[in-house]
Amino acid sequence: MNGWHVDPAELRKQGRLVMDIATEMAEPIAALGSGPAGFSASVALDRRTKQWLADHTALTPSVGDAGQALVASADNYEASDRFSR
Amino acid sequence: MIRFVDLSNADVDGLFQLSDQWRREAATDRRHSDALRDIWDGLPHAWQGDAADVAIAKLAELTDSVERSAQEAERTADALRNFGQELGAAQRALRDAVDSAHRQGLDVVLGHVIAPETDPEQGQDKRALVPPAQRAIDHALELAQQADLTAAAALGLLSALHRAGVTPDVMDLLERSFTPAEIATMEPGRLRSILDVGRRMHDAGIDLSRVQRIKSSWNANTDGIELELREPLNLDPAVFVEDTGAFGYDFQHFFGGQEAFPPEHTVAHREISKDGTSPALHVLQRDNGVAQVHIDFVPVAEGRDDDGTPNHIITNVPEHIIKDLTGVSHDDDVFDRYNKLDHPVPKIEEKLRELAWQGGQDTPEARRLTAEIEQLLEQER
Repeated sequence: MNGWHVDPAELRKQGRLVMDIATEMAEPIAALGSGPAGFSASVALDRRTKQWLADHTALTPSVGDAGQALVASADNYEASDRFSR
Repeated sequence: MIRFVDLSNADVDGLFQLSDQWRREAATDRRHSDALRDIWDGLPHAWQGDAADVAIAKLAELTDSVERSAQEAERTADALRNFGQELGAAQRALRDAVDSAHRQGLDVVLGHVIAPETDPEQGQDKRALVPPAQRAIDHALELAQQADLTAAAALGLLSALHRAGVTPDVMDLLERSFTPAEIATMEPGRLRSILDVGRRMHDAGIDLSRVQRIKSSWNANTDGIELELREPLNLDPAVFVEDTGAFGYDFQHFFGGQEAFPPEHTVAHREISKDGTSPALHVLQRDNGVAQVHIDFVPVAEGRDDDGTPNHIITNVPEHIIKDLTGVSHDDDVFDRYNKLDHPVPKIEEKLRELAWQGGQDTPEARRLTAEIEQLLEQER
């Protein structure tokens, strides 16, 4: 492997920051209200709200996983470094 | 149709509050995407190598997704705010209409204007006031109907575009170029074409913020797209031209290019980006089902003759031949002219295109081709 470099402590720190963001993202979203009764736009808004919430909810674990992956990489590099010494 | 009672009772302030609520969600997402971007921007300082590249790419993708979520929330907030403004205007118009009817001594019952039964003579006068009062109420309801359809279309379209994975920069360009109502009512093929051009530009790494707006003229055969530029695009010629066809000549002509100009190459893009003087960049996509011609993403800049008149594509094909073949004159729309240039006799079409490649120069080759086309036309007659 050419030109690789790792700073495990910094990598772990960044990974934890990503995990913190995921934790914040997982906080419940205040109920997004509905539009006025009798309007088509209100029906469209309900659909839109449900979809946006679903997409948003699905995104959060991926961010958390990415943070964990960074921390795990830092751990692995440290472990292999100890082993090689 | 929106009912009188629904418009009367609609909580317009609630729509503005709802819009604010979406905007707060957008701000939260934006904060997260900015933080993620800072992290992956700085990650190479802590980690480099093949595994790092994969992780950074994944993080970049996630950041884009969070940013897209923010933009979607912002757009929903915008749609709700617009709906609130338009619905508020309709509601005010309705209240004014009802107040006006009351001031004239008329009753309004669930949107129906009624003249009260008083003495016959006065009642007659009041009945004459009913139609204009009713029209004012109906007009307010129509405004509400319009607002409702626009908002429903905008919100529905947002869902559809989101599902289709339209990127934020393309969405921005679309919204800079068209009103929500225009987008919502656009022919599907036209919208697809605009989004396709946007996607190609995005994929080619073009900064779409350099484009002021995108204009489109669309019909069943021809699809012309024009970009108004804020600044040169700095296009990579290799990315954009798959087949310049007859248009190649124009690039050379308009920009005085000296290079040889085979169909698979172009100098035009560089010329456009270099001088930056061209106010517009035309992109012509053409898919002729009969001839299976597909000219894909070909930018053509409109030049000007010395006297300032626009200098269009195929200008230098001799005028009498154009007229003979297409029946259209020099000043006709450039897309129509090209569209009608297809001749049912392949030999003529082929020679005509060869002629176009001569760039309007009075060369022996051009004279030969012109004579051959004239001969073929004569035979046809």
